[in-house]
Amino acid sequence: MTRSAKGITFTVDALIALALLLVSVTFILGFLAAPSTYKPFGAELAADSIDAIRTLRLSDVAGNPKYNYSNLVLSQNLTNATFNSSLAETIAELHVAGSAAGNQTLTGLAANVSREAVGLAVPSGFGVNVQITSSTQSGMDCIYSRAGSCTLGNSTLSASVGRHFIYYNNATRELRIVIYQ
Amino acid sequence: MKVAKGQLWSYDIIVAVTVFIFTLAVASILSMNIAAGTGSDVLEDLSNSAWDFSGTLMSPGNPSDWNASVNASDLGTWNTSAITLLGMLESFDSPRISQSKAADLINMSASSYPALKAKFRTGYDFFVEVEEHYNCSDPSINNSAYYNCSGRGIPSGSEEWQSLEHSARVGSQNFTFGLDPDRNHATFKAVSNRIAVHNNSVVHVRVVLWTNQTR
Repeated sequence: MTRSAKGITFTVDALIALALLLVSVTFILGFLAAPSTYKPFGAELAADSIDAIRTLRLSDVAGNPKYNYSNLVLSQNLTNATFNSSLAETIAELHVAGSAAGNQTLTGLAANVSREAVGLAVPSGFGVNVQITSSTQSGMDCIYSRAGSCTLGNSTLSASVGRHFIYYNNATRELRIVIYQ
Repeated sequence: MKVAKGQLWSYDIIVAVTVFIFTLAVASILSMNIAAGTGSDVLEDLSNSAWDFSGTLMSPGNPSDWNASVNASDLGTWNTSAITLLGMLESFDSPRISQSKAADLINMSASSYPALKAKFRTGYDFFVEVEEHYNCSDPSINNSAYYNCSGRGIPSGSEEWQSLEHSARVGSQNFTFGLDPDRNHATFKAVSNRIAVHNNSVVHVRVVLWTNQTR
């Protein structure tokens, strides 16, 4: 009888444990699967952005008050006016010439043209980097970054990359836009 | 005595295994029900459809000059089999939005949203808005003929004035068409973000596909 009573007590313990387990599992699953009704994505943003800045030329944005820095570049003939540079070519030319000469005004202009052409158009919630093949070291130079640094952190969930190749100063360079979440 | 102890141990194991299997089964059922309840399958399908929809929109359409034969207020001119795709770009090799196609899409949506929805061949409702980023408080923006916040009736200091995101313009209209999901109590929505060139300016194209279904 004593053994039988002990056995019954053990079974009740197991049932209590089961109840506790069920409550815990229900709570955890409910917490993890909170309703999500909004699913934004922007896998094409980088390619679209490259398309936009290789299409738009300085003459296209002349007089547009949204593009103050591009207008400054145009009015002061800071890039090769012969070719009526696209915004992509303008960014590349300003950065490469500025880096080679150690001229921070030019590299700063490249960053500001990047910001007004791409940085302001890409919706908030995305990180934006504009980079170019470095002429002074291996790898890529960071022209503009919405976050302040072109290094992607460990928390990056996804990234899309758009590329455009520009010939300037006897070298072909890759202008790269990285848009990430 | 040894036989009795062994039997008691087997009984404990049977109870433990039963408890484990029962818990696993309940957890699996709960997990499936919760997944269905949050509509993950609907969201997945919405996302894929939004992707397709934005791809169609970011093309010139088929035929690429479909706007040439369209009178937006005359359903007979655009609800025909001759027009198979409605896109708003000028051509395949350009990210420029055609002013004429944009105006037609806005007017076609106002004329008959259900017919336009059928023309896009989507089972979901849609909303497209093209946005530009500028600051109405900047005098050069406010005084410009195109942006002209005051001239468009945006009260100075209002929420819209202070926002940096503004609807792009097509003529005197805001560049939006379709049904706004927030005003129509959407339960699920997916957004595809694209970039294009409109009126010589880089703009954000926001394509929203949404539904009222609960799962």
